[in-house]
Amino acid sequence: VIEPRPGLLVLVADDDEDILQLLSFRLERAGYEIAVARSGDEALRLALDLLPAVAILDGMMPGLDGFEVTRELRRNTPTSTTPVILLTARAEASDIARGMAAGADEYVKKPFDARDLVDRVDRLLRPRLIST
Amino acid sequence: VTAAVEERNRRLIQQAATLEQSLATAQEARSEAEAARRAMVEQNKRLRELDRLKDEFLSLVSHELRTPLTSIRGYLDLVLDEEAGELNPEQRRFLQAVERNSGRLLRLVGDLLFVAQADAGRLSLEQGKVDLFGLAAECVEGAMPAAAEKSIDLVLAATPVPALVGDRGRLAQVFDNLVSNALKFTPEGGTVEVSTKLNGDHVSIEVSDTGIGIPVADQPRLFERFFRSSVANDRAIPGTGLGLAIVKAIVEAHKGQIRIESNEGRGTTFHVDLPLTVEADNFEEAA
Repeated sequence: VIEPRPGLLVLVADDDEDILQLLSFRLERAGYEIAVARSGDEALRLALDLLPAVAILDGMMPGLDGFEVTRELRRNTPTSTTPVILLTARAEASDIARGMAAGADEYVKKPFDARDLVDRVDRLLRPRLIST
Repeated sequence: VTAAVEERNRRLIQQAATLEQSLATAQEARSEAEAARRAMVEQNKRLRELDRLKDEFLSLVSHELRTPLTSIRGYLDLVLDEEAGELNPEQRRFLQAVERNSGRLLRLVGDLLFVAQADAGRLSLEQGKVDLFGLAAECVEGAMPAAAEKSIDLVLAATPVPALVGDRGRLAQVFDNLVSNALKFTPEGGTVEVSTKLNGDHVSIEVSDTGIGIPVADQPRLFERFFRSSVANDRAIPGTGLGLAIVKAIVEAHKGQIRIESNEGRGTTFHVDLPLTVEADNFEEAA
């Protein structure tokens, strides 16, 4: 069993305050440090400033949406390989393809189980968790 | 001579008038037909537009319900996981009722979105190896408690079949919907049987029950969405009329066929045939 350790920062971006708090709570309980953003622009700024270990981005946000933020992260060297999980209420094949084309690592459909999302973050960070 | 010419002239004038009249009638008829055709084209366009709007509406509603449902269930799980302190048994029981019902809502939203996508021809299926025998066994195991509650004998009569390529989650839904339907319409003490077998280049699935049956008059419309059989309404058996529409859409998306055999008061059998078009062994798992 791998215990996530503090020092690993997860960026959570969603314009829905309740989802933001829910995810933050679950991730904090799992031992992660959290940075929250309430828009795509804020998410991009924080990601470039803080270089999180994982970014969880809502697909639909005011300003830059999650897809655009993902593309921007890929374009910038420091965040070009940061694992990205895209969240979305749209579950159509074309959206999944769009998310993957933007460079997201995982694509999670709403409604999701917050515990499942924490498991996904654990999985993405497994190599780093083992080495710490 | 003059009289003869005048007579012929008069006849010609008369003939010309008659011709003109029938020409006018024909023209009138043609323009009426043309107007009717235009009206029908227009109506057709409006119906198609209405249909599109309805699908868009369904899809929008389902999407807009998904985000709040994520929060409702997410926070509920937090409380049930006792992240906010210990629960007494009564609090747990009450919250479990909330969870059960939010689960029902979640399935309904999923079903609505599914039929809207299926209707719009935008069904997205995942492709993977699927073991239908295993799915049948899983489904029967999962439905055991519901069967036991009604003292229904739920029997798995399946034989192993070759894996086929399809959407595992959706094919599981076929079994789940057919079996939960069978349990719903079978009185206490009855029997529900689930079977799978290889039938040439097809896998045959059967779900049969000793239930109340489906009246012949209802059978042609059984797979229409939102259709509820008269016996279901008479006996106030709950349901949305989406389950079988979804089953049919999934089966057809896998190039399969579904049919029913039913005797009122004696029972119903659903037959599903799925082609083994691509043997799963020759199928490369998508990376």
